[in-house]
Amino acid sequence: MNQILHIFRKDARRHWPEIMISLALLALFTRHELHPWQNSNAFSSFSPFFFILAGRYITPCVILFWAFLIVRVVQGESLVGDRQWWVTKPYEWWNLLAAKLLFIFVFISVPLFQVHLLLLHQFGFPILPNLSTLLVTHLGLYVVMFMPTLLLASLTKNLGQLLLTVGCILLVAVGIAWLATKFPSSDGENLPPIAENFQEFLIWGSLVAIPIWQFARRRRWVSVGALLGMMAVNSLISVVVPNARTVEKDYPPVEAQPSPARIAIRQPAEVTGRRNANPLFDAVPELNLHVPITVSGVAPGTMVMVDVMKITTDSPQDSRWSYRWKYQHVELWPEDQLKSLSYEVARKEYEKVKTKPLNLHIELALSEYQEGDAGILLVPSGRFGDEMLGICRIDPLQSSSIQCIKPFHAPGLMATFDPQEFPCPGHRDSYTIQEDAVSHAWEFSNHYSFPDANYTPIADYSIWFRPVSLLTDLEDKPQQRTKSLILCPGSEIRLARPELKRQLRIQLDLPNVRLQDLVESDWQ
Amino acid sequence: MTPVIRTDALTKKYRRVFALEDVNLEVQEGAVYALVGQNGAGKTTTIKVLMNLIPATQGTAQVLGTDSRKIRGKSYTQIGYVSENQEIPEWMKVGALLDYLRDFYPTWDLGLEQSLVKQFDLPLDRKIKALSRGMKMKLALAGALAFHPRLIVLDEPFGGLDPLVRDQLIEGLLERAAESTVFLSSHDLAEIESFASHVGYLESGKLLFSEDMTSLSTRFREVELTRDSDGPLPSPLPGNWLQPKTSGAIVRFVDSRFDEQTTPAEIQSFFGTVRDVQFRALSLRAIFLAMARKSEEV
Repeated sequence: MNQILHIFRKDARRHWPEIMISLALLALFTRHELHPWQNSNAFSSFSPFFFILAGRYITPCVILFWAFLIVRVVQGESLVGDRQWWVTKPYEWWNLLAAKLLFIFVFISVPLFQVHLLLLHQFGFPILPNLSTLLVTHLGLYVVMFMPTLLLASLTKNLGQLLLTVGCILLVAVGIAWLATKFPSSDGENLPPIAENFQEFLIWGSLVAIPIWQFARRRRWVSVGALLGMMAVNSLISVVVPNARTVEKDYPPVEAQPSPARIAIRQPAEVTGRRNANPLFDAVPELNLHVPITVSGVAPGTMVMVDVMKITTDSPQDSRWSYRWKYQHVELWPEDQLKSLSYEVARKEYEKVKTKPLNLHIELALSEYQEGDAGILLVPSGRFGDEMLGICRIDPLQSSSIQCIKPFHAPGLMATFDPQEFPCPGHRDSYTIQEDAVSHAWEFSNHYSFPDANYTPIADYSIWFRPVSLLTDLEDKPQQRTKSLILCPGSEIRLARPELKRQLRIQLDLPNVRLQDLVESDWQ
Repeated sequence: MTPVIRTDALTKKYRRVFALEDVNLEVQEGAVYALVGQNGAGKTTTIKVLMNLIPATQGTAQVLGTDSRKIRGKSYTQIGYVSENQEIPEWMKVGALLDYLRDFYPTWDLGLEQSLVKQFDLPLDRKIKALSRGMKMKLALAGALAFHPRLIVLDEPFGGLDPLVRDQLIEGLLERAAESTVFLSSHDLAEIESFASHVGYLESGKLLFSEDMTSLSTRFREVELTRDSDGPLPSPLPGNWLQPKTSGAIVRFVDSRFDEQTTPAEIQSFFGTVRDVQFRALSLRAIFLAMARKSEEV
């Protein structure tokens, strides 16, 4: 313990200027986080320019500076090479590692933890119920940020080497990602859970084990080999282990049960004439097909989400572009009538078949959510607290939205607002919707599994009411009365927790269509 | 008595190149052992393997009775190591470095530290990066001596230093040599000769000899003799006669196995009747050069 403290004191004495800068940046970060709503409206606020600018870049600055500080401290007793003075002194490796971790703990973790406590306190969120989540968050920060930085610092001699290594790792990552696109995996399908768990174990285990090994033995190339080996094994697992047919398994075909919505494909209008040259459009290697659908029959109090979509075609020789499930996340509310689905395809494959008439088979994987614990929120004026939402207010700049903050995660919610029942004074820039249409908002809980490393315990989110899409939107100038979508004190909002009712798959056909008619671009 | 350092068939290969090949050496307690050899002979490699800074490819080494692969951490409370290539933390001040080191060693002698600081004229308030090379070596040596190490390991400690600093370093070292075993590598043969008790000669990774200085200086002699007539040297000459040269009737060579009893008879058997035979003692430098030239001829 004496040696740990001895090394720690030396590091603290050496790095006090960096520590001071780190604390100053953390103070700026705290100031920024204490005014979450001011941050989002930064340029409209009356903050001095410095604080506005600092606020915009403060989080990446703090993170980068912490990484820099960790690198400096670890490389103070470099673990690379055989000329370092300290390696022939009576340093015990575990004391050295503990001293470095203690430094990170004292000068990064503890101040950040205090800031987190301060933020929770300042926003009126209770500390004790949130303490365990806060500790897990900090543990996550250690695993996700501090240990990888410590690992890289332990494998490099100086900052230049470290930057070069980071560049190489990025190149390898890009290479792996590129290779991954060459294999028939899919956005919507994953590895079997056991393979995924093994991959996670491998990644997080390596991030802990390799620095420990490097401190204990100082064999850089063995450590680098272990790191590369871990990356290779992970990539191999992704390539070799067959993807679970997650979508087919999780979303049974609709035949066995009634569909939660009636969905039909609108035949796209035939495009004639020549396309204007658009270098930007022509340069991208992928393009999006837009499939317009009409929607009806979504039951009141429910919402149907189009999770993923797959397009196949009859012509086997032309179907190489169309075998993958792709994420959609398109909401279908009871009042919705018209939506558009988007499907990314490779330009090379598209160009081969774009003018040929094809029969497209479109599969949609749907999740039906129903309202749970529904209740009415009477929107008060100014800031207000709500058990489900956290602390909220009507967005002063975007009056169709409510800004909220909540500890750690935004809650999952379904919200409905009928502006006709609660008309508010208009605003020229606000959205307009049909007089008889309500609007909805959906918030997906962004809570991921461990390690969930956040730099702030305050989740800042918006409940943004968007107009439903109607068939009349297709008309050039809908001749109907509209009204503004504005929230104001006294507005009533129906709030509910989304409960997943069921998941299923439907198939739709779009016969005799040319792909070029599904591409939105600047046609003459 | 267990040797302080012992290596058995110690080998270090870098790809296909042998930096060390089957090196067997022993350093007894209390010895001042000088490992000499040309650049690239493997002196620093030997020390790095002994100090567990690099792993050996084959063979074993024991330092203070411990397998050299386990030399780390606490082992260094008994070993004072100084190398010309060491990266001392230059951001520190001299005094701060000594303060910092003090807590690592249970046997640190504050009085000795102060006396070394005085003897080496170390400026405690100056940053290390502002020190000259000689000053840095003196500081490193002070840090390596102040805790009464059982073994002092010095890798080329005198390289590039001016004579005054060299003398100061040697003086400081000798004053403490009595209580420690010293193992050093150096090119500076003249200085080593004045205080080394044992010497090992490395050539291309091979240890050509390892013995105490007295026996070394006894067995190496420069021989000069005058033959009755001119003529070519008889061939072959014994392998231990190095660098044979003739100048008219005069013949000179270095005998690396000189023996007062047998060498005159051996000379007579090769040259017949000779006159004015002289046997001159050689300096370590001359022995080193003779060995180096012999290996170049081979």
